[in-house]
Amino acid sequence: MNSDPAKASQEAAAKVFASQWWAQRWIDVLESFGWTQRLARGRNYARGGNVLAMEFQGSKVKAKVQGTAPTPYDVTLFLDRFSDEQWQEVIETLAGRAIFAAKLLAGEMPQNIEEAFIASGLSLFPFNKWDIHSQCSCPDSANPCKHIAAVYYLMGERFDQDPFVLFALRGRSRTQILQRLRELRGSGTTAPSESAATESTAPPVPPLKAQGFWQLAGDLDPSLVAILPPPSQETVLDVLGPPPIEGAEPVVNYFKGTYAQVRNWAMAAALGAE
Amino acid sequence: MAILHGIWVHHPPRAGLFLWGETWRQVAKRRKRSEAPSAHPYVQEPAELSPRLAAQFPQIPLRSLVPETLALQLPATIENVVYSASAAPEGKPLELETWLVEGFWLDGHQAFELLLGVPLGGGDASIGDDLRFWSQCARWVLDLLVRAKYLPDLESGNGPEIPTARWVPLLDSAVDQARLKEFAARLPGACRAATPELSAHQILKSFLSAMLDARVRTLLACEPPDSRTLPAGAVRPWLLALAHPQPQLKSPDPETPTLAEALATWRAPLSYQVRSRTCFRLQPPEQSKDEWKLDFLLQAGDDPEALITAQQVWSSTGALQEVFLAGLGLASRIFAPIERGLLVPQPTCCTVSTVEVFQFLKAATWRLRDSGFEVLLPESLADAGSLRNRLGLKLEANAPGRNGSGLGMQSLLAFKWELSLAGKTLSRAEFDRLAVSSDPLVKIHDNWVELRPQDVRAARSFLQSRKDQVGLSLEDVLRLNFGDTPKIDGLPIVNFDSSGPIQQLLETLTDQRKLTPIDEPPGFKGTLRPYQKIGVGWLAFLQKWGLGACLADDMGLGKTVELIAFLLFLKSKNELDGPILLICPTSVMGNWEREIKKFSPSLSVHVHHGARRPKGRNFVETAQKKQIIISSYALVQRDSKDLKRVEWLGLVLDEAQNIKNPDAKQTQSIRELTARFRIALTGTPVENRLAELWSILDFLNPGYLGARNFFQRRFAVPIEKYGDRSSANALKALVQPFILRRLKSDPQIIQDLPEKQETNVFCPLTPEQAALYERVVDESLVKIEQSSGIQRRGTVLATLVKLKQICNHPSHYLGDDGPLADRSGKLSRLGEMLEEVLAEEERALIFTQFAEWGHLLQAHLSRQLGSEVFFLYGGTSKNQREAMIERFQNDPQGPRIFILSLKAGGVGLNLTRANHVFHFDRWWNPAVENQATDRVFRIGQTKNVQVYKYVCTGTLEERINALIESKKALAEQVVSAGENWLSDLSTDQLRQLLVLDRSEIVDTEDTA
Repeated sequence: MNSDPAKASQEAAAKVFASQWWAQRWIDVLESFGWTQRLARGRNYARGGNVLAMEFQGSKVKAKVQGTAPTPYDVTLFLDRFSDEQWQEVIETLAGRAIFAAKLLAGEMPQNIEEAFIASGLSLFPFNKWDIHSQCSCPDSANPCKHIAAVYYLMGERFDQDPFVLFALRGRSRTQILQRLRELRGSGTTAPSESAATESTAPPVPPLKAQGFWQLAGDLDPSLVAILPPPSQETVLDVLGPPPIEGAEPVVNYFKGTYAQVRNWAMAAALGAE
Repeated sequence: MAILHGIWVHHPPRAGLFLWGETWRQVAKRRKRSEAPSAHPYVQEPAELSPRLAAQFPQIPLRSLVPETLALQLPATIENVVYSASAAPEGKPLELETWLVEGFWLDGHQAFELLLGVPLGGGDASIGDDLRFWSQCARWVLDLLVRAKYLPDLESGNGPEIPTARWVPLLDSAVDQARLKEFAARLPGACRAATPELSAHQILKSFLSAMLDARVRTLLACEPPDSRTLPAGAVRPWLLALAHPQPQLKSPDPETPTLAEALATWRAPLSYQVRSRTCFRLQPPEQSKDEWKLDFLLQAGDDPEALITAQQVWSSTGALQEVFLAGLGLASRIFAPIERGLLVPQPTCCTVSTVEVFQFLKAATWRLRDSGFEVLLPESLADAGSLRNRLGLKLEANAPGRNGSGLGMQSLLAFKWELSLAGKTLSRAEFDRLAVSSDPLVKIHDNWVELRPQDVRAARSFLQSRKDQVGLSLEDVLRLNFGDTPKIDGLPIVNFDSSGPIQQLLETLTDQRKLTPIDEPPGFKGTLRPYQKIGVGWLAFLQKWGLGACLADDMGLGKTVELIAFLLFLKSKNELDGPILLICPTSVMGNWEREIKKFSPSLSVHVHHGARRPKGRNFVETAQKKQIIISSYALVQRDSKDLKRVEWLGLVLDEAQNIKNPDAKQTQSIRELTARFRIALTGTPVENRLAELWSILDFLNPGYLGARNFFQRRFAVPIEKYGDRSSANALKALVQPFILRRLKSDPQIIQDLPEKQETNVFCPLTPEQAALYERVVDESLVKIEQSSGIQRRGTVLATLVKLKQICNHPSHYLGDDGPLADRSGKLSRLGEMLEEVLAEEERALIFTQFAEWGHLLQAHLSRQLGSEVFFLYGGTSKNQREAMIERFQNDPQGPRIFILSLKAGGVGLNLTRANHVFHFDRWWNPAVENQATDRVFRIGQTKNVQVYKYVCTGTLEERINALIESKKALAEQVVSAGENWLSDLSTDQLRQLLVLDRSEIVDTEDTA
């Protein structure tokens, strides 16, 4: 991918596989199992772009990893699914506290989500190495091989972007969980479409009228006359938190600088001192 | 004057501001509507538009722009498209038709730059309302940028489309939603003319998105991010495209769609709160002191009044619950205590401590609102900054001993006081109790209010000074009454209760109807019209209270007469116990002297001018002997020392706009004079010219409007630059008591006014004119004496012409091409009066019998007044003549001043749009002059007509004028004979008629 090997390794070193706490948690759990050597090799594979494809199929992850052989190896990885009964219990626990649904809907993994699983004697994150099942088509008999380890790391990155992938690996999709929570609240089965937010049905465009065509009624909105700096330096970036993308931190820092620069320019322009 | 139009065009992939000019011209009428789009007949040629744009908006690089054509839907009658500044034609139905206009496209960035340069306030008729609307929207974009209400976005594009990176505005807060509604409702139809298929909302959103994106992008492109510091993969091309003039991603990563999806997930929580928003209502504790409640509610987006309780949300079905939950989840990031309420299955509220409430008020409320949430606060906390919830003083007026008389702006009035918090009186004990606790929020009479430490400190030190009463100057009282908020020892005055004479003063100041009109005082020769009696009463009322007054009646309403009657009124009450100094432009000194002698011969006047004017002690003695001293602005500075030695009773400035520049030496000299009352007269709409307003008001009532830079910041900039109505209203309330301005068009005034009013305007000769005049008279009389018969007659008439030319202007007589300014009394006066005509937005005709003078005048006036001036004379072609008349009568923004030669323009024309007529030089034939005046005073005239006949004082003009006016019968003879009768006079008679009265020369150049 990169023609300049020095630059590639520099970038790879900067590559962090998790920025959100839950994704970091996944990596921590893995690394706590002690397969240090193999994980290190896997990490290099992941950084080097050896994972050519990775796909979530229900609770399974299927990936193609380029090894030393010309054809890439097939890696399959999955966690133990929870049974329907187990899920039933977990979701009932989740429904007992609105904070879980509220945070999940706001795109955040609740800090104490584990509590809901522990209450049912379960663990959302793999508890020991036997919880993680994996296969690789490579001749290496060790498990995890470096190909599997590479996939582990990339999964952490994926969790970062969408915390619900973790749930999917345990057997429930985000839609299923929210739907079940909805049922438990007794609010029927209607899913809020994304259009609940946007204008669902645009009203018909009123025809242009020839009367009063040229005249502007009224003055400038008084609140736009003297444009004041907002009382705090915090912005929408702080409200939303970092975006679910790999290496979010430098991106957020770049945006923060951008917002400050734009604000300074706009304040000066608003005061007419451009 | 062409009107600049701007229309936001959304024709994807192209979007931009299309600029075009509209200029009035005579166009042929159609018989029927055309089928195919036709060229707009009023469009200004791009070649003319271009230099205008370059002059007004130097920051826009226009050279690279190429004119283009755009189709617009515009209203038209059967006859033609309607000129945008014209009133809607009556009885001719309007329909939209497609018209083609030529103009220039600006891209988003250029458009934003241009729009920020457009003055936001109205008043500049050369900016179309459509363009003004977009400039207001641009200010909204600026506000979004300041508040960081935007996010970076990525559109991955379908199939072959290149992904694009853009900055998109976030309109989720209640403020922006309300603005969107309001702007869409106000959007003029003209703004949709290029895209009638788009609604106001859609075109607005297109504008906001494009402007915001263009601005951020341009700013970042100046300093693009260093790509080496950016993460690899899909993010890098996205970030680079966000900071590049083009939004398309360069070499996008295959993972771009995944990134777009991740960003959509990131942004999703914000989009929940648009149609209905989660709402937080703060409830004070009922018993235990430290347990406040924050109720969770849902507000239906369309109706801010419709609140849904949490219980209702939980028993509802459908999507509401999830909107609510998502809102709670997001809000808990802004104000963490919300999380505490979410530990139950169906949360309805959370509890908060007083300390947390304070944080909520100080930091979270604003951020919640800005993020699209609604926050409801108890009334006593909702408006923490406002006076009604603050700790301060409540004042009650004590009746002053005297009935106002002899007071001044700085006189102290005594008031009883009480401490007050949130509108409730606070006893000393209650204050002490509150002051001990360090809580930022306290409960007083069942209301929770914020107690500011600095207010508590101020109150403590105030109480320590143990005053029973506080003194407030009349000025402070006026400020209080008109909406300002003075403080005493740092403590705000939160309530004010006046009674007795002060209440009377305040009521009369705000309501002229409470004024007592003053009838003609004894010795007044003439009658006052009803509104003039009110004017005299008003001057007397303000003088009694020691307040400076600005009489700003329209030109022609008789400010001079009102002032003379007022002075005579003072005399009748034996209050004229000192000299009045009247300062006016040199050009009207003679006029004042004549008017005073005419209306009140009993007032003694001294005109202070000329090389032989008294100096030093002589001047002081003269001043003490006379009742009125008239002097000029030019002399005030020169004779400042002498003038300062006199204790003036009153100081009157005529044409007070002469002190509009506060830094001028002349203004400073005037401000150094002391007088017991001050009056300013002006005919310009002073309240619309803020620099002038400040300077005049500060002369009248020093300090009342604050220091100049304060005034600039508080009023001038917001009003003039941004058209801020609330600042304008506040200012109006402050100055309204001191300015009396009646308009000729007021229905009450118009019935008091004659339909046609003729006035002589007496103007002095300048020394240059006087010298020429005397030389011509001397030389001519010698020639006349030595000749006889036809030769003598020819010499007399030639002399007459020469003298008239000299009275007009030295250049007119000499035929030189030197500068015209300051060399003729008539011309100076004409310039001053025309400025008032223009300021009143009216129109004037100027008649002269000399075509060569008309040419000089036209060039001079158009330069001095900065506007186009027409001139019609014998040499004007028929076509030009018709075009001029058509434009003068019909062009909404056509020239307002029309010079006509008496011969070519004195008959037959209909110029009823003008209502001022100036006869600059005289034919001495009332019939000819009346016929000329009738170009204006005829059917179709809707206003009162003002006729001004210019006369040079001390010259043959004044003598013939007096002759005509005093001896009507003789005048008739004179008329019938034209000017020939002059040649029949004996040389002695001629000498008496022609010779110059030296005492009338105003010596502006004299530095002796």
